[in-house]
Amino acid sequence: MRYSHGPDVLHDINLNLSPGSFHFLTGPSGAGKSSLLKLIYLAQNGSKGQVQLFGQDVAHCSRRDKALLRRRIGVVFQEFRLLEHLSVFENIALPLRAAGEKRESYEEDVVELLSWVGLGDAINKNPRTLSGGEKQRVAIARAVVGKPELLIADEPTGNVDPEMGIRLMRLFVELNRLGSTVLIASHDLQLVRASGAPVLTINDGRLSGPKPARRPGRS
Amino acid sequence: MTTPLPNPTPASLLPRRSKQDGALFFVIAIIIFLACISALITRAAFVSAANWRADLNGAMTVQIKETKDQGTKVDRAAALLRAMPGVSGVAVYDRAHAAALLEPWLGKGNIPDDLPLPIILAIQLNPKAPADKEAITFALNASDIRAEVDDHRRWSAEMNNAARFLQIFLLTALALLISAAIAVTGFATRANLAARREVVNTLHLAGAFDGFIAAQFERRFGAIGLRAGLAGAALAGLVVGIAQLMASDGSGLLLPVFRLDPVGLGLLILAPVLTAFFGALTARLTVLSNLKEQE
Repeated sequence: MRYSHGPDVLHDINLNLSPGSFHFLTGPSGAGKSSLLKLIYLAQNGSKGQVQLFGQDVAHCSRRDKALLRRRIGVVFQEFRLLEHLSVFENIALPLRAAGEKRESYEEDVVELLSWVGLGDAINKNPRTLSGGEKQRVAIARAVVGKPELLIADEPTGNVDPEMGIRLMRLFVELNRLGSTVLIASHDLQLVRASGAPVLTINDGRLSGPKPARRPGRS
Repeated sequence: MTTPLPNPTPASLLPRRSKQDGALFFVIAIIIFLACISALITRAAFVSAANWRADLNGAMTVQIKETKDQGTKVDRAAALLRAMPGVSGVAVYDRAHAAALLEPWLGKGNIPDDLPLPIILAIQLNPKAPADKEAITFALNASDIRAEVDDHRRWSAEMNNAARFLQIFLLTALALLISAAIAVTGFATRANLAARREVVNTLHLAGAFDGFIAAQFERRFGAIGLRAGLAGAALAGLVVGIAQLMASDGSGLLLPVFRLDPVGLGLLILAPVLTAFFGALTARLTVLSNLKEQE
């Protein structure tokens, strides 16, 4: 994969995420973690090779099919990507609204999820008024609200305190138990080790691993 | 404790206002104002041209060339023409009438008796089956009346050419103004899309279809088009109304021939609707093409 006419940023990647698996992705800054995630959540096209998602070859998907694939993926972006003209409630409901769901069908889920991430009183707030950690929790709530089959998170606990970090990890584990495949890019080696999940490591765009590990949440 | 839920009406997924929106409203309102004025002048030109053509084609003029026994010959010619099929009326403009027309310039009683003045018969033709020039000339010659028959064809052709030129000019101006409105909306949509790149990307990655994203911009630009169209059309209506008012007291000879009749009003009502429609359509097509380019 390369950006515009630049050099390849990922080389010889051979990765298979089994349905229901839970992996961490680690590596130094600039190693290609975010690029690999972008390839998986269909924000970038690969320059060569093949990407298959849910059994479909992405290169042969129409734009509509790709949109349908994206609805099956929840993404926690490193830079949050919250829409600042919308309230916290509307930001979280965004994927459901984009999928054409009626408000009545998701209202309760969004409220419950907000309480779960500790932002029950921030429902009408504007994201601009939130701290970095609160924004991150909103971003996570938005990624999981549609109960995605694949959850991708880029440094999801980078801006929250350790207690909230553990709470959010429990949310990811719970989603994984419910059947979601989870891939989390993180620098937080302590968190990675504590989780016991298999670890993929990326260096200079080359992937190694996964190193076998225990299922998370069973320690 | 959980705060009460926000307003059940979903907020627009695009930020409410942007700096470009005000400028776009202003530019489109001006274009629609000019387009409405052009459309009304175009319509007036069409109506006037049709009336002029009908007036010219529905009438002929006969000039009596006789100098001896003129009065009798004029009466005979008028009687002969009134009896002809295809003629619905004949008006005689005799020497007295011609003298009355000259009086403002020469003064009363200053017209010499031997000054040759044309005697004219104005013929109104039956619009369904008009008499032709040859038949009238033949009938007058057969009755031994020397006369020249003018069917206004020369004037009619010139009038048609002038009207056609005016119509083409005004329709071109109208087409250019509509194209300008579409182009401006297209540019503004692209600028808006660039400014909203973050929103578009987020929606895109959330799995929104291109049509869903385009619909957000479509609604926004349709609404701006409707508001700008209403402002432009209302201003045009005001200007036309004032022009019509000024023309009604006889001082409007130099004012354009505006008409705010039901058709003219219909044009003014249609303008904002069309502006909204084309604004929405242009925005939709621009966004869809832009999203495809990004892939």
